[in-house]
Amino acid sequence: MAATLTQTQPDISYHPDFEKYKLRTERLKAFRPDSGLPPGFPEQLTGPLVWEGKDFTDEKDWTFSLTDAHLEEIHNALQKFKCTRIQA
Amino acid sequence: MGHVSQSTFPLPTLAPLLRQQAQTLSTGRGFFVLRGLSVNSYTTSENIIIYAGVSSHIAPIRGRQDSKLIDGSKQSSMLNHIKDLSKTSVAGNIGAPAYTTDKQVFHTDAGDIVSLFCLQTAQNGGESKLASSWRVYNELAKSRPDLIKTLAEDWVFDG
Repeated sequence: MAATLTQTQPDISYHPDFEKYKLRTERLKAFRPDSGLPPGFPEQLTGPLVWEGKDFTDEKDWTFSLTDAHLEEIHNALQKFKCTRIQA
Repeated sequence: MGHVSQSTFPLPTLAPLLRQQAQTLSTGRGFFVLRGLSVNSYTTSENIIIYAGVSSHIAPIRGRQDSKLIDGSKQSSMLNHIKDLSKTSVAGNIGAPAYTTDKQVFHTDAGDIVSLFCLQTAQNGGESKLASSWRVYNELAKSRPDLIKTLAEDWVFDG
């Protein structure tokens, strides 16, 4: 039986499928060059930018809430900007 | 809109607090949520001025992305509306799930700092999720360093 030469698209959907990803990673392992990280790239990054969802439990930690005084300031800035534009 | 800046939109007492948040973006956890803007008190164009004005105290230079043919010339935009357009006249031209009710996958946008301004709470869903790109890097470096190599290589653009 002759081998078909029809090229097919890989089974990758827009919404990622972790199970399929794991299977694909395993299946293609043999074809992948074991190159490691490019030269100069760190093995691991450290610092406050490395986090996971479970590191944050209290919404207050990452929320900055505007006060009435801040809102008034924003309102005044808007009026000032609109006046500047009319003069320009 | 291009004239909105720290000097044309002055915020004497709020600005230093926004600068602190900017520090959190560049040297801290990399994100924050600003709450309390009175969206319903203003028109759409006023809200956009407020958005750009407040943002100018966090990051003074606004970037642009995309390139669309508008009135015969290619133009980019500095803000995009994330809204369900699937029931509108432009439905046939929707190119990304941001303009549908479909969920969007994790992605990065062009720019050092990106922001979302919520004009209206969604009836259903509408949640935004964030991931730490450094955490993603660490995971890839450990499990798939070859992907880091691919991502670090030059990308060839057609056209």
